[in-house]
Amino acid sequence: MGYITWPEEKLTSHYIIGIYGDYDELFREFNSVSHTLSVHGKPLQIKKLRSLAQAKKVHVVVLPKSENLHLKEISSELLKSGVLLISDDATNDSAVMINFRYPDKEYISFEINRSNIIYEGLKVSKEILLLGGTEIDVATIYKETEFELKESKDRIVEQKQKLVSQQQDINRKKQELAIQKKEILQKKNKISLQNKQIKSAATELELKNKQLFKKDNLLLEKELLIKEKENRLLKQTRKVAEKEQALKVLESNIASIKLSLNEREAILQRKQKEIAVLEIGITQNIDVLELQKTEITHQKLLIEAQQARVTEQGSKIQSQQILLYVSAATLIFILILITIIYRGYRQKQKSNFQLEQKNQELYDALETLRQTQSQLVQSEKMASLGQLVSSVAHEVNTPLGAIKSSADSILSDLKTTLGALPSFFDGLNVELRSLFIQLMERSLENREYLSSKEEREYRRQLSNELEPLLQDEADDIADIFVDMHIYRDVEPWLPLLQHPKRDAILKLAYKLTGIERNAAVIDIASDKASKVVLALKTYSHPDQSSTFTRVQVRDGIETVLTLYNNFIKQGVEVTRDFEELPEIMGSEEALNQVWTNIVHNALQAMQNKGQLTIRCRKETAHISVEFEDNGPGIPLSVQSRIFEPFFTTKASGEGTGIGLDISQKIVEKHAGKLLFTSEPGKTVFRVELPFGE
Amino acid sequence: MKPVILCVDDESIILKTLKRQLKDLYGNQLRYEIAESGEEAMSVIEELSTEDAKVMVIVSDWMMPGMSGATFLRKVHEQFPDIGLIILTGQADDAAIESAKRESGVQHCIRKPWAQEQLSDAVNSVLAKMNGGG
Repeated sequence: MGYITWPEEKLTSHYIIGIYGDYDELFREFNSVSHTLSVHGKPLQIKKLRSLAQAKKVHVVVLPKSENLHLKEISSELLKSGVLLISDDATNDSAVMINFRYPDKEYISFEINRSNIIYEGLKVSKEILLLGGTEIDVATIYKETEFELKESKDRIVEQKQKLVSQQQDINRKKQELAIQKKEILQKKNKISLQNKQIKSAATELELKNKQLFKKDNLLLEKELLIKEKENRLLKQTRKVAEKEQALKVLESNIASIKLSLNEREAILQRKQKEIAVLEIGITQNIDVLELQKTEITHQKLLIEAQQARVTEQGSKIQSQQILLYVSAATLIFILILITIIYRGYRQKQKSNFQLEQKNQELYDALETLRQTQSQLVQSEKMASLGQLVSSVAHEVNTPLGAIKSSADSILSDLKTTLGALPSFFDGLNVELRSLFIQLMERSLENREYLSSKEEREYRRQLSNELEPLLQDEADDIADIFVDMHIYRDVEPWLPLLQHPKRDAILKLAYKLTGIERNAAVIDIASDKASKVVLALKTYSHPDQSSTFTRVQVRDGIETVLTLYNNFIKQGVEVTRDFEELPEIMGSEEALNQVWTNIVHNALQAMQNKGQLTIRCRKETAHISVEFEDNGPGIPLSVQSRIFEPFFTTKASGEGTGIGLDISQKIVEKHAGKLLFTSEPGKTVFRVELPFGE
Repeated sequence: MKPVILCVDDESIILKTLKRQLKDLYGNQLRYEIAESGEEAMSVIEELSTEDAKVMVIVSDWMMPGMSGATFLRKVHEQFPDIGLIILTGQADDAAIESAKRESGVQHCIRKPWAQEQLSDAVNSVLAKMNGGG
């Protein structure tokens, strides 16, 4: 203690050492020694500490070994209370201040935790170590503390995780509960539904019970009625029995009377004298007897009548029952009859109404037909003309397009090439110049006309040939050669191809020769255009259709085919089977109209896809022209009507139906015949025209 | 590989004219192919795709024998929707052209006879659309 200085110690009169815990022996030992010792010249006092509150007031707290478990608590409680804690072989280095140690049994050593002591505000001099103690390594303490902290943090984290998982469990179980509650609700609903169903079934049952009850009552009533009738029957049989008994009584009376009669007869025999008087009396008695007999028979009759009446009533009851049934049946039957009759009546009304409506519609349709008839004659010609116009337009515009662009190209290419020529030739030596000229000559002289497919093939071959020399450019160069109509044997031009100015050379050659190619295109295209125009001119030439001239029908047919080329090329294979035909007398325009009409019909029937065969034959007295197509044919049902004016199988707007009518009239004017045969897949229209002179 | 422009028309004078005009306009930037029918054009497109060449633009006539222009363009649009389509026609059937634009993705219609500017305008705008991401 001499090495420790407490704060404020100058004010204290003595130092107090507290012994923590109830350790009497230790206390006495300390006490006995304390009198002899002094610290910093001040006496010592020993106290027993029973609580930490007391401990805070003393200067030194001595912690016996058995209290080491509480060391951490005590030291943390005593923090900042200026108390020196002396512990005995404590293990917790971080909590101690001065700790006695027993490295072996021979001697005592001690450790100092300087930082803890200083933390308390106590000063400790370094000489304390001379007493033979060690300082506790603060660093390790710090590390241990850190480690403990980490451990406690880990524990906290663990516990937090446990908390979280437990909360999740709780949530899950809550959800399960909720689900179960829902299920229970659902089941309750089901049960209430079923209860309702049961109730409704119960009420139904009640109703049925009531009905049954009513029926029972009815039955009972009927039983009662029957019983009544039975009773009446019984009564009547009883009456009959009574009357039988009465009869028996009467019979016994008769027997007794007969006995008395016999007696009287005996008396009569005794009294023959009194016979006359007695005879009267007897006859009188006989009369009486007879009267009584008739009464008896009368009563027998009555009884029989009553019996008959009883049976009658029985049969009456039966017949009444039958009548009841029959009348019920007839009633139902009558009801059914009535409903049937009523329905029939309603239907009749409906159909009547519909018929009236149809009548009106038909009448209206007839009116419209009559009105449109007058317009049809004009539109027939316009319709076929209109179709031709669009076809002709296309036929003319196609060559025109080629001509225009070729002409444009010639003009622009001339400009560029002529300008470039002088400087171009200067750049080439004599050899190359002549090669260049030869290249152009070769291009111009080649007159092969190839299809695009063939051209593609040649280009591919040429490209492969040139690839080793030209690699990526082989394709383009091959294309240029092919465009210039040079398809093979290009070795002579290799020097040109290897010249640094190769691109300019080829371009010039291409453009110069191109002028010739463009001119050729213009030539071809104008031929085509003029052909179409000629055909149109021939078709619509305002010949008087009544003037007959010398006509070559083959030309007319060709004209029509040209005009319809646009439709034909969509997929019709035209086969011309023409013999030499003489000219005939006729009207070219009119006959062209006939060919137009037949070809038009044939193409329409085939929908521009199929085979059209035209046969021209010279026969003995006439020429024949046959148009055969492989369309679906004319149905038998309409074959007899196709020459009728306005008869058509086409949809409204597609044809007027007077084409064949007009054709037939034209052929008749030529004194010829227009015939046809048709079956599915083969339809033949045949025109016979006499030579005419 | 260079993009390919394909011209289809049954008249060879038209094909030659078109190819020359396009070559004048685009030189080595494009590769030029021609076909005389819809069927030939389809086989050209397929051949080229095996060579890894891409047909970008087609200029096609409207009325052709065999496969009609309408059918051909529709087929192309179905199988190769990326190819730009231009019609070249000598007929002015507005309704059919409108429906072709709607149903077959045709982008331009050039009428015969045509000026070179019309052709270049149409092809340029089709190419621009493709490079600009349509």
